[in-house]
Amino acid sequence: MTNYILRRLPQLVLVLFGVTVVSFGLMFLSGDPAELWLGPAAEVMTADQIEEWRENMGFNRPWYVQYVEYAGNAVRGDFGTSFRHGRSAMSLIVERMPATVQLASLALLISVVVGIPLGIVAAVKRNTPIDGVTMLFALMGQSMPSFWIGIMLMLFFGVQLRWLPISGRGTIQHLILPSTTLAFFYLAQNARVMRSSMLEVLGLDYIRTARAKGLANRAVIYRHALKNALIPVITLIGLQIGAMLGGTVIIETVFAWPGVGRLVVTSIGAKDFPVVQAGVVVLASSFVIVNTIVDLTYALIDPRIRYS
Amino acid sequence: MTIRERLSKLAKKLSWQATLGLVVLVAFLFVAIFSAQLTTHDPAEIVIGNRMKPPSWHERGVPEHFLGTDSLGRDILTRLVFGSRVSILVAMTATFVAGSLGVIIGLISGFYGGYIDDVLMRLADIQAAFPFILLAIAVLAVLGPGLINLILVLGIAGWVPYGRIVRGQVKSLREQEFVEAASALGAGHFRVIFRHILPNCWGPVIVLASFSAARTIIAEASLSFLGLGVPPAIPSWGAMLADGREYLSLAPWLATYPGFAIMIMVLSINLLGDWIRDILDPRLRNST
Amino acid sequence: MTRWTKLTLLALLLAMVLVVGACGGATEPAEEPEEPAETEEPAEAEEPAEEPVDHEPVVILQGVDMDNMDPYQGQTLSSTNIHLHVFEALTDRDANMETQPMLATEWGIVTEDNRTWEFKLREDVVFQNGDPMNADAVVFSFERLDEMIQAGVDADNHTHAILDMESIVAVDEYTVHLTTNSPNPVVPQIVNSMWILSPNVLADVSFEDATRLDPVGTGPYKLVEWVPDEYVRMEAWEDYRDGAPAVKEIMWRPVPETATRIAELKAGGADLIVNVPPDLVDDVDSHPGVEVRTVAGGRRIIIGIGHGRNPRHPANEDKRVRQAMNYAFDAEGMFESLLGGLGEPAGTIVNPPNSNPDIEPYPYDPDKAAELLDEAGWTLNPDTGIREKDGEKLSLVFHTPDGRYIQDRNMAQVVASDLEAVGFEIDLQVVEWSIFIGMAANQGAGFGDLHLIGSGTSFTWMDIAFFAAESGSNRVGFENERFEELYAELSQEFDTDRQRELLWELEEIVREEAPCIFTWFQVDIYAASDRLDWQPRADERIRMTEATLR
Repeated sequence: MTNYILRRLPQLVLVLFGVTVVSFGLMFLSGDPAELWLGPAAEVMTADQIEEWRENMGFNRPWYVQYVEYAGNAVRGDFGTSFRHGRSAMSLIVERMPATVQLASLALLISVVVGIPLGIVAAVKRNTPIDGVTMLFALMGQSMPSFWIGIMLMLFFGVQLRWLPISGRGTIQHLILPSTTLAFFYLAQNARVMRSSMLEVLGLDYIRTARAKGLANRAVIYRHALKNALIPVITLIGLQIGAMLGGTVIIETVFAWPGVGRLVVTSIGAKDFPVVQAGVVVLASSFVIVNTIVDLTYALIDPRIRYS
Repeated sequence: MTIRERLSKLAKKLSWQATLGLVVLVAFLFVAIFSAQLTTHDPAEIVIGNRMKPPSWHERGVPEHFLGTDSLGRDILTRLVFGSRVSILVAMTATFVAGSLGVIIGLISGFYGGYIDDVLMRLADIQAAFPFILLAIAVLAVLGPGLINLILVLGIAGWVPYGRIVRGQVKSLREQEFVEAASALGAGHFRVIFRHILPNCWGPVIVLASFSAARTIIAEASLSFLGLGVPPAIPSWGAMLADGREYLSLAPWLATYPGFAIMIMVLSINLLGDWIRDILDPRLRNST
Repeated sequence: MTRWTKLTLLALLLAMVLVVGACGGATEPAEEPEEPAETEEPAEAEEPAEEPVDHEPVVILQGVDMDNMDPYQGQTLSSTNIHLHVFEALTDRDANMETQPMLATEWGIVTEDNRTWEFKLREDVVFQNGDPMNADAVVFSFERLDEMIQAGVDADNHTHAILDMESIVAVDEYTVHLTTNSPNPVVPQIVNSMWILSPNVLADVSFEDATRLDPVGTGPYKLVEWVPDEYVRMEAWEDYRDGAPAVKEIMWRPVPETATRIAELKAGGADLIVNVPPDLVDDVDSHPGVEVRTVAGGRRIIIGIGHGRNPRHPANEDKRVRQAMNYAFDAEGMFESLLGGLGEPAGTIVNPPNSNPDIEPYPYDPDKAAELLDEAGWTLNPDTGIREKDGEKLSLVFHTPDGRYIQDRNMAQVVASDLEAVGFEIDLQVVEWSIFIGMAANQGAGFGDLHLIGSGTSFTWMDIAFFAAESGSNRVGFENERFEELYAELSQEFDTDRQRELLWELEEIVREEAPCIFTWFQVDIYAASDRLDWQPRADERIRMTEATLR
């Protein structure tokens, strides 16, 4: 096990390094910051004033100098000062992390708690109307863009019925619409994978044997089939944790949720490079770290993985 | 079993869901190809006096605009029909770009192994670390929106799963006797790859492609929502849906029909994809 | 370990992730019992509130959050709207866009060279923490902006550049002398966004720390709490020198998505929202308890016609062709079709109250347009429907941004079809904003024959500088001898009557020479709950001091 961890760690570091290179490169390529950032001020400023601004902001130096400085600081979690907010970009991101994690966690919970039973029911009632309806629902969940689902839910539960608050963060009710919307896709995914995994396990020899030995159907399903059928779903959930952190971007914009994704999107719009870089690196790193932890846990469960 | 044999076997096994999906997709393809013949309006024709007309069966509707008009008086049915082109084009080409890139990288990585493999797979790890939509947003923000950029971004952002799967396949195939035999007989690298290895990789690639095509259509709509989709002059379902979202209480037809079109299309691809997976993925075959 | 125990372990790990998330969330909601969407629901859920509910905050939804606590480092309009409730400046712009005294009582030029202005300050003003507002505070605030720019802090470059200050000194406790590098007649107008800060509070605070420090101003509201990207809450300052304002509590919330802002307003979760799309005016207005409020804003939207120093299509060089474009454009038709009937045709680029009242917009007259084009030698080719001259087609490239100004791309399409109706061929290209501003740089070097662009305003005669030869905003290459002569005189003129005379003549030149198609002053559309008695201002500033609760 220790060996496995030792093998994974350098990979992790390497990937994180790559992430910083990519995020720096993207922003560096996006054009002259003076034109992008000064906006209307550039209209009234003289060429000398603009040049002085570039000088002051450090945009005049060659790209490799800027990268070395950037990378050196990035290692310490310092991505510079946000143009728009005048504060450390990293602190802006960190400040919004809880909101995003909260949203993603609840969405994960919903997608697991609703998705897995749906999949089990569909598998057990295979080829019945229940199976058909469940799978159609799951497929529809994967067939609509999330902003669309979000706006529909908002108009129905917020404006029409007035059961739930529409946007913002605060009470637990505020969480319901955004997390349900975010959960929709993953819920559908879980239900479908759970169903096929369950079907596969139910077709295996030992289950047939158990049934042949006269065990009750219910006991077969829940005692024997379920725990094996869950394994692929759990792998999937591991991947979903990371994906959800990034998937919040659109949900946070629709519901005015004060999270990292929305900050990154508004910062891209405002060409606030340090915040974009910090946000991208943080989201990507969380994704990598979560996936590494999931892999490690998986290796703990299934020793064969360690040696492959 | 070669791919041809498999496909012929498949045809006998079509489930009703798969048949439905296939029929709908063929219908969409037909509509996309014959867009110009099937419609009476120009998708870009602006008739300001005719704006926001509801579908023709409504009180205020006009017969020449069956599904009504949008905020510039353009015919919605026509734009839907032409929009199928963009959606299919984006889905197919982006999937093709992702697939070819992934297959090539996977082949190289799996076949040569060693440090080439290490470098390519670390690249895959790095790219996979960026959430799909975030990477697309960041790249489009730099490149600027546009049809070509959109296809490139969606394609490049999606190669990793193909690369990993093909690499795995190649690694296991390399060890098998027929490949070793071919190498021993002096077949060049390319010959071995293209004649012996590649044909055995198609199964999982097709399965992946079907799901990533569906995901691409959703991604196009999501990027339109963030203002990074195809340019407004080109009719696309995603852009129509995104443009119509503010008018839901006033003119629900603006967003409802494109939303419906996206759903039907993605649903059909998924139905078909499910079935292809059940057939081609050996792991699930015994349960189908 | 059995496989089952290991699975349990994994489940525990998942649960841990959830708990971390929940804890992260749990610490904050506790601090905000007064959530607007909750508390206001009963008040406006069914019908408009029957009796005034003064204790509830007025909830204002803008697109983005306050940038930070430092008014000089926040540059978005949303930020300014929040800061101007806490801070005040030497002068102020009233609801009619006229300059009025605020912290200064009077001002004037005091030196021969016209470079030094004297400002007399009010003597009865204190900051919210009790610090005196005096000449030292003014000098500190002005010098601080200078230091920020020198230090590379991205502060208010715009004001700094227009003000062009050389030095500022305190003459006595309530008098300051402000000297500019060259004579600058607009100083009294420009200083209305130079917020006066307390040196006691900020002198020893770094620029970065200032972004987080609770703001202390002389204004009528105190900032109570800021939760980034969630809300800014402020309360009326009971000791404000003119008495506390009528609206006692304000909650500013950033909501980026238009559909969401409208949904909030309809559901009673907001009192005021910004940027309602013109198409939705009727829909929003007809909702019970909600009312749309519009105002002709200061943002000038024009379609620049590249000519002069920026050679484009040769036809653009001919004044008659440029005028023909203005005659061909059906402004009223566009307002009717695209803008819900809102808007007035424009004939100038200068905002009221400074603009020349005698300037008439070009009327919609396609026959006159055709006549002018014929006169200029561009005759209709009956086969193509496109005008030609010496074998060259009247074919223009038109660049427009998308989503930057109200209906920008749709407006461009309407203008294009109006022009095509009189025999132009228009290649309309919609350009993404970051690329668009690249084209706009260097006096519009990247633009094609036509471009749609908007420009903000300082509500001074400087609006006319838009077409001055050396101005960065002159992206059409307009250069007119008489214009430059008058403009040079105007920019050194301190007598307001003479200023007006010069400005009005300049406007006439611009109308006659038609360097652009005049479209409109962009109408700003807000929607408010019925309980809020408030009128929008032309300068996009939202001021709760001008509001009351019904």
